[in-house]
Amino acid sequence: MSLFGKRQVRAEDDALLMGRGRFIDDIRLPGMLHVAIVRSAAARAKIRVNVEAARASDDVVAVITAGDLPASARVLPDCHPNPALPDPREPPVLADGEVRYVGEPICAVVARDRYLAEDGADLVEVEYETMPAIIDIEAALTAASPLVHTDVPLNRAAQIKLATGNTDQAFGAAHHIVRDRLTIQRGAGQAMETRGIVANWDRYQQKMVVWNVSQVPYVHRAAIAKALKLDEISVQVLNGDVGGGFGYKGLTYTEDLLIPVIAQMLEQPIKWIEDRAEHLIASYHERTQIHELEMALDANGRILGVRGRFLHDNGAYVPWGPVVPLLTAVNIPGPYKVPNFTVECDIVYTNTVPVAPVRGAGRPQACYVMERLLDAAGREMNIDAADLRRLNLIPPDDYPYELGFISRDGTRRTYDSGNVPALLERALDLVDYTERRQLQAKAPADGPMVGIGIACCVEDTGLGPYEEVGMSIEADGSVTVRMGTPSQGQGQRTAFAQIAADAFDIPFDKVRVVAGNTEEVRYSIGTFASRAGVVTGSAVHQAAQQMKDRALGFAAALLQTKTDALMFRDGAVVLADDTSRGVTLSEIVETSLGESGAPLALREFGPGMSVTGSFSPATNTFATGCHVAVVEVDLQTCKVNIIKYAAVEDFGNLANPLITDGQVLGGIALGIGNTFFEKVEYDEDGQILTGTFMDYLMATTMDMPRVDIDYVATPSPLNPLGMKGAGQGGTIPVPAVLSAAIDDAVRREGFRLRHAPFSESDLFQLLAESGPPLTKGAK
Amino acid sequence: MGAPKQILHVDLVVNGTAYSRDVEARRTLADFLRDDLNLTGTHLGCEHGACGACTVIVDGQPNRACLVLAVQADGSEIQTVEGLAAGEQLNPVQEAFKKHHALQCGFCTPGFLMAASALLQTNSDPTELEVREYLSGNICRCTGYQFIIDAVLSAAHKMREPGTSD
Ligand code: FES
Ligand code: FES
Repeated sequence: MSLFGKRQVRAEDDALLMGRGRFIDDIRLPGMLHVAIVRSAAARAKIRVNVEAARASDDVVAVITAGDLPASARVLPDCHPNPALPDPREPPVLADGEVRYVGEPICAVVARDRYLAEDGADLVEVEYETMPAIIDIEAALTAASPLVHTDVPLNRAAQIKLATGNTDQAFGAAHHIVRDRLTIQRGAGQAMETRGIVANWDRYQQKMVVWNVSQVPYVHRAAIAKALKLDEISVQVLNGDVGGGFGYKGLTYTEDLLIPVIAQMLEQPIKWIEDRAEHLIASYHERTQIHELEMALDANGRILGVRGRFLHDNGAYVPWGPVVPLLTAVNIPGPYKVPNFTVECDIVYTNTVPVAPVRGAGRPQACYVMERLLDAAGREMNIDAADLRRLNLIPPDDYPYELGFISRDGTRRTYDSGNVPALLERALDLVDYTERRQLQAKAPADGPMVGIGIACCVEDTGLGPYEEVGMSIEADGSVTVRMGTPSQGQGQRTAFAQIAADAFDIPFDKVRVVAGNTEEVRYSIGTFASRAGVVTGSAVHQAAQQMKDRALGFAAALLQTKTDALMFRDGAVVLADDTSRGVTLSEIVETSLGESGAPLALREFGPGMSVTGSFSPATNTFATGCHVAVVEVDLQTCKVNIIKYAAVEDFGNLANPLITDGQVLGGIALGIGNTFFEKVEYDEDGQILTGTFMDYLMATTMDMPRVDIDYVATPSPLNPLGMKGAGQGGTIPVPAVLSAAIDDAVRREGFRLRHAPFSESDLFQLLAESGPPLTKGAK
Repeated sequence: MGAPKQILHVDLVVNGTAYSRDVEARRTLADFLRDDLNLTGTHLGCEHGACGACTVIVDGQPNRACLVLAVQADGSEIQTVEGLAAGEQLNPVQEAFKKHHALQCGFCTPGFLMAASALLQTNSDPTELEVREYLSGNICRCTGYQFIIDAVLSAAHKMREPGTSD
């Protein structure tokens, strides 16, 4: 009975469906106090803070300003050092005399409940001496620009350069060159659960216990320990149910230190729940980049090289080194053969919310620019979009495929396995590509404008360095699996239970998966970069192998046979040639523990059925995908109707396709938001214009097409289960696919989408600029 | 500090249980349910009426508990997500959500369940478009909605023809 690969319904669901989840805001501790945070109303200003009136209020327990913080907790440490950004400017935990973006925390007001804390926050007076804000990244890089950090010239945080081959020579030999300026605007994570923290100083154990919504509790543990000058083992980080992560919960924020510090100062439990207004203005954003790139091709349409430059808007501080622009840079070639490649990036400070990975993390930008260039080449050279990709995709026999430069993890970037041409053909079939093209050719000029878009992408997943898994067999023969990677909705309790249940041939419900507590295993990295399924999943497999060996040893001794004469069957270890004889897992547990007071029967094995396993991948494994969309554009209303959407993914072997379907669909919904709706807007003074869900729009039931999902698996050779990560593949190609489909539908010389997101009114504007108003079109 | 806080008395019925409480006039129904009655299944996603996570049924109508004050609910009968299952037995809508993988993190789920229940109460045989329109005021960041829509259609079918498989 193999559970791996089965569409198993989830172990998580019953509690969540009955309203019995335990999310951060559901935690209540006796004597718990609540925090409201006063945030900057100005993008760039010198500030003076007067907290006297707030402190004088009977309803306010305490007001904490920058000066009240211990020296070790005044500035957020660089939690992810990276040599490409050697001297990052980290945010102060509370602004100290100067603010650099709207929403920056200035002080914390503590009261008995949140209503009173907010009343108290209203009593805090902040005087702002405002200065011109630095918002536009191109202007920021000029000598005339004021500086976000006075000691960082040109506001340039760092430069990245990546090169392979001889790009200039390739361009010299080109038959055709396309170039474009392609831009993407920032959006945000917007998990339905905002951030939140509950911290409690345990005076007896001299230990800080923190509940939060972290994707990286071990990173938070280290940062909190440093701020409080405690050993790491004196800090415990717990995560209950977490209402979505999407990257931005994988970062460390000033509040992650602030709330534990206050809890220790006041020796009372402290709760802070970010409200949506705070989230919209102050949780990390991602995506703003300006790309100026060109592609050289030979007469047949084969890519000779890609070169150019892009600017990355980093916001005011650096939460995670240069990871986003680095991911864009390394992902631009995607699944295509690009023998010559040179790209440079300037990472620019601005007076905006700091930028850090949001689901997709630099890759949607990479996929967008590459596919837009290909589409431009196809149009100019009159080559069909599918043919052009067929010509340039890395053929399956060329894997493992070396790109000629270094990856995010410092290794030589090598695609371990893949077959994107097969994904492409499958996706084309799913939308009846050939027939649609024929129909399109015959379509009357006054009929509906139908277009097809294609995009292929790669995603580096299953990032190292390791994950650890503890496993034990309980008295009743059930198995407990403990891990450090918390869940934000990915169904780990289900997928990892499937892996463990298979190992012992026990039913799914005999496995319990425990995560979300830094005391379950000693070491962990976290749930991000589509890595938990691959790395933790492999560690579960590894721990299970160790446990099986141990159980076989016991069984062989008890049955007086050799281990290779045994097998696991239905919760027991049995003789392979007489399955009616064997010992159950619970008998093995009993033997392994013996009786109190008597010597152990099998002393040489040591006590108990508990092991720790781990997995350390050699490098990333690469997931790939191909999406194809068919859209109808109404030229009157500029409404885009997605008639057909096919997503074909290679996530290697799938533990649970029901869960991966969910990942793909959710990813596409974000991608659709990134295409049409999701944009954080700043005015020139750095005021954020998208401060509510009425302004920051996301895809709803009315915007999501029905998606045809299929998988083609090339198992990864880099882990024992052949898995690849599935967390972001859905998101990455969407803006590229839909932009291509709309261009194809409109088919006008002067009309070409070069910016995402774009609204219906943007489309209207672009159509108006590109030619005479069309009166014909879809009804 | 500030103005004196006005305390009022409310009597209401939640999931069949009568409650009688003093409550500050400015307290929202959502905070009242969560903090005063400890019914934390109702979630707050935006607190400005735009995400639907806090949807509860007040006197038969779906309502956003973040936009209603507790005192406005005085005398009313409320259903929250905690009232859907019969003990440990999921109701057909919950069952369909599980079967169709209509939830991931589960944070938006109580709001979707309550909205879907309200829909199925007034329309036992909705079309896919009707389901989409009815749920268009609820935001889910995880699922991409497809499986939620499938779940609601399948629950409707099950409720119309119990005993059939969908
Ligand atoms: S919390 Fe009430 S609608 Fe979002
Ligand atoms: S399941 Fe996470 S927001 Fe809907």
